[in-house]
Amino acid sequence: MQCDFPTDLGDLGILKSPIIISSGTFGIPIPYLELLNDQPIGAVVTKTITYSPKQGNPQPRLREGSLWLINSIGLENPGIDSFVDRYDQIYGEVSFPVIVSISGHSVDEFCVMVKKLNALNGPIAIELNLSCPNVDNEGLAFGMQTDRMGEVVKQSAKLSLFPIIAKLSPFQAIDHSFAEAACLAGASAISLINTIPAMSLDINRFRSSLGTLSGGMSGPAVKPISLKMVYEISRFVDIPVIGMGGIAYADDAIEYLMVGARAIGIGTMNLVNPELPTSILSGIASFIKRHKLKDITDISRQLKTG
Amino acid sequence: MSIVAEECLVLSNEPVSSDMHVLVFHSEKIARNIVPGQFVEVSCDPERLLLNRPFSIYDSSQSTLSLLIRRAGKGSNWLNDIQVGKQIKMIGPLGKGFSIGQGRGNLLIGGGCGLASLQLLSKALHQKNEKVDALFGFRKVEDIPIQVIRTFSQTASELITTVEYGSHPKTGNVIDQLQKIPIQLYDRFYCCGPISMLKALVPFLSERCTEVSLEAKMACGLGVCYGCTITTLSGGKRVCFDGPVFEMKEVDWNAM
Repeated sequence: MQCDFPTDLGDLGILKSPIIISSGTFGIPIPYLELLNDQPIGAVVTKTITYSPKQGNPQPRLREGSLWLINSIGLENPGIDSFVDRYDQIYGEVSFPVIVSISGHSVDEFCVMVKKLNALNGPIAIELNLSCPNVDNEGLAFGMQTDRMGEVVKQSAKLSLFPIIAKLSPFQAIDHSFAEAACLAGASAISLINTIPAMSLDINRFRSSLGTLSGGMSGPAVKPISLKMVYEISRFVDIPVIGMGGIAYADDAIEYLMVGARAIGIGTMNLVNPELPTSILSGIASFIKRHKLKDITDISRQLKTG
Repeated sequence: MSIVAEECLVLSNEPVSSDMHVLVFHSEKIARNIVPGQFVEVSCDPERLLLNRPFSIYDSSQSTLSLLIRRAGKGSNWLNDIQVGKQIKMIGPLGKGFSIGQGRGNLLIGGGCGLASLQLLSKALHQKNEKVDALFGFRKVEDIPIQVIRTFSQTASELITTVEYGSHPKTGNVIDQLQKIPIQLYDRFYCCGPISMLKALVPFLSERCTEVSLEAKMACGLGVCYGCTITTLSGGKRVCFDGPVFEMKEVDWNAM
C-alpha cells in the first residue's frame, strides 16, 4: 500500500490514506478482498449491523439511472451477536483498519450494541448510522430531532471504548445543527452524507420499480448536493469530517478535500471499479504536484470563497 | 483461484441468431481459471451506464474468453454492437459454478440465452468421459443460434432443439420435450434459462440431482452489496457470490 498521504483523523488516529470504503459497499468475501488488498485504503466501514438479524427488503433491490443508483437492501445483516462472535474469524483477514457501522431503533438498542462491541479488539471506531432511509420505524424519527440524536451519540460515546463517528443523513446535514449536536455529545468525527431517500416507478405496473416504495439514492448525481453540505458542516465543527457521495474520479475526491473534508468515503463507484482508490490517490498526487501544494491538507487551505 | 480486473481486447463479434452474438475477447488473466457456470462483470457503455453488467462465460481457452449475449437492454445492446479492436473492462471470474460429478448421464436443459452458461460445462463433462445430452428451447426458429448448437454437438451425444413458434422438427417448450424423455436415465440435470422455464421444471426435477444457474440484477457481482439476494431454504443467498448456480431444491421458488 502507498503511504504518501497519512491522514490525521483525530481520535481515530492516523490513517495511511484519506480513502475510506463506505458502509454497505465493503464486503468480506475473500476474492473481493484480494482485489482491494493492493489498494491505498485508509479504512473500511462494515455493512450496518442492527441489534437483531435482518433479512432485508424484497426484490427488486436495485434501480439504476445513468448517474444514480437507488438501493433498497434494507440493512440485511446477521445481527450484533453473530457479528461479534464471528468478528475475529471474518475481519481477522482484513488488512485495513475497520470501522463498525451500527444502527438501532432506540437509544437503548444503540447502547446495548456499543457495549457488545467493546469486547472486540479490532475496530478503530464505531460509526452510528443515524439515518438509513430504508428503515421504516422510529429510527428515522429520532434521527429527525437534534436532542434525541444527540442523546444517542452522547450515550454511545460514554459507553464505547472506541471513538464514535456520527453519520448524517442529507436531512441532518441540511444545516449545521445536527453536526453541532453530535460534536457536543462527544462524537470524534462526522461522516456525511448517507443515501438520499428516493423513488422510482414502473409506470406500466403503476407501482414502485423497487420491492419497497422507496430506497436510498447514491452515485455521481448526489455529489453536488453532498459537497455543499460538507462545505457548510466542515466550517462549523472542529472534529474531522469524512465527506462522501458520488465520488467517481480523483477530481471528485479533490473537491471534497477542498471544501474541508479530512477524509473521503467511496462506495457505489468502488463496486464498479475496485481499483478506484489507486486512481484517486494518483490523481490527488498529480494535483498536489501541479499546484505546488505542501500536502493534502493544503488543498482545503487554498479554497477561495469570495 | 482469484478474481481480477482486466482490460480485454475484442477479437471478434459475430451474430449467431436473430438477437444473439458471440463475442470473443483476449484475456490473459480471467480466462485462466474459469469454472463452468461462472460469470464476468463487464463495463458496458461506461459514459452512460453506471453499473457493470453480469454475463455468463460461454467459452474460454488459455488466452480467450467468449460471451454469448442476447440483446436485452442498454448494456447488452451496446456490447453486441461493439467493434473488434476495442478494449473492454471486466472483472472475473465470479461466482460459484456447476459441480461436476460422476454418473450414468447428464442432461443439460437450456432456454434462449441460457445456453451461455452450459457450453463450458458440456465440455468439462465430456472431458471427464461423462455422457452429456442436451435439450434446448427457443421461442422462434430464427432465435436458434445454429453455430452455438454445432459447438454443443461436439460434446453432447444427443441434442434436441425445440421451438415454440414456427416450423421445426420439434415444437413446444422444453417441458413438452422433457415429458417425452425417459428422465430416469439421467442422474444429473443442469438448467439455465428464463425464470418461467426454471419454475416450470421444478415439479419434474426438484427431487432429482439438479443444479440451476440463476440470473439477477447486480450492483457489484462481488458479494458485497446484497442487491441480488434470493430466498432459499437456508435463508437469503446472494446470486453473485453464493451462486449463480444453486441446487434446484434449495431455492424458494414461490418467492422468485
